[in-house]
Amino acid sequence: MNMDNQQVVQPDFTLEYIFEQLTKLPTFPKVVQKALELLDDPNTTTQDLVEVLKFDPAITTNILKITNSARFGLQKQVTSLDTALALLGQNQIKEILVASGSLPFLSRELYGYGMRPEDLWHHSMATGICAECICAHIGFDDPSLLFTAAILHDVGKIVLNLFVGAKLDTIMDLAGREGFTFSEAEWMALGADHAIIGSEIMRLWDFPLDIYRAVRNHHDPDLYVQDKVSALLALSNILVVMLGIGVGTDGFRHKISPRLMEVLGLKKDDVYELLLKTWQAFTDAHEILELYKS
Amino acid sequence: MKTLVVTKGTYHVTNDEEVALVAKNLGSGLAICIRDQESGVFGLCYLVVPFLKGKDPDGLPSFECNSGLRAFFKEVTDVGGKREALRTWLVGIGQFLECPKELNVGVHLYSLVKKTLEKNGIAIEGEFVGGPFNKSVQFGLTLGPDVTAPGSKKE
Repeated sequence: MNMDNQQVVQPDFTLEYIFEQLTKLPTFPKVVQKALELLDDPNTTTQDLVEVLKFDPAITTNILKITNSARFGLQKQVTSLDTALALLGQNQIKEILVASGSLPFLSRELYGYGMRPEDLWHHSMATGICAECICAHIGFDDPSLLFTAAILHDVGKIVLNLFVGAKLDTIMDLAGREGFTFSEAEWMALGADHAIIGSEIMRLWDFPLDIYRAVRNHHDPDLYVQDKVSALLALSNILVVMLGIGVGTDGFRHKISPRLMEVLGLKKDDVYELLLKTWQAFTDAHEILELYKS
Repeated sequence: MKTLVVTKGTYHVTNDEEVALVAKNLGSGLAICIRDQESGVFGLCYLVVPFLKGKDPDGLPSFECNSGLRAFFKEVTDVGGKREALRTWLVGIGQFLECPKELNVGVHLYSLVKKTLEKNGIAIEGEFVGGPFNKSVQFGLTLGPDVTAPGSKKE
């Protein structure tokens, strides 16, 4: 057989490398996971939580910083963990724990996505805040579940960053000239998008199905209208992109389902009000937004 | 030259030629850059939504279009700008590739602003609107508007 005229096709192991990176990523802090589990048990006391959290000084420091921010509106400066936990409601404690545990992952520069160190942290916090505003607006009964999904919805970007960076020209060509969405372009160039990688990370970190499914679906218009948590997460992210908070090269290169608003029973006026409430709450959270510097 | 950041839902008008006005991360919002070269007055107004029910939010005089534009143009003329000499540029309105009308906030905002400017006889000199970009703009008496966005050719 004459091989001279045959083109040698090199196998592309990008996807294998990407999945290899998932196992190298540090796990979500175990103490936070344990504390979140305890909070779901009605018999848990404040002291039980303190016993779990007190051995992690970084988490304790972050919890105190977040608790003392204007966002939680406490009258006095709190200096001890047990006082902080006693003063806050269960959902507030969950949110503080998730934000605190996520900080090391979300305060990084993502060159591939054109995001500065503060962008991913601001975008994630804003999405969490927006999710809370939407929950209050429509009366959704598990705001902390949605908050967790919202804070971590773009965690897949951390892993894909280097690969996106290496193939950014291809991705931008596909998304720009060819008119594909950014997620479609990620799939075409890498064999995966940041949503499915993020979802896999959260599954490996033992987060509940509702959360990693919503993370998986947040850019897929056919999927996110099929369950409420996914729809709420998708809308939270869309509103934060509309506010331009922490938005990188993927920007507005996504398609929105025509059924999203109908599924959630929301109208145009609701969107205007939610944009205002989200922006006001986001600017009130300035101490938390500064945490990426630490 | 010192820069002054105009945040969402606010505006700034000045006649200080050493100042550059900046509006970052416009998203689906709209920055209206305005300049009267003769009097040296210029300003930037950062609008976010077309309408809001109820009273204007505290500290955000131009979050919504109608009252925001009114307050902004009053300030421009109060500082010495002449309506007939005003030149205007519109920047922003990032758009998703496909979007249901309830979420097409930028397009509603843009239509309303255009209509209001035309009704008041204020000419639009240039537009940097639309596309899937999260734009930022810098603007001064002799500068720009200088528009940038992550993922655009310029950046």
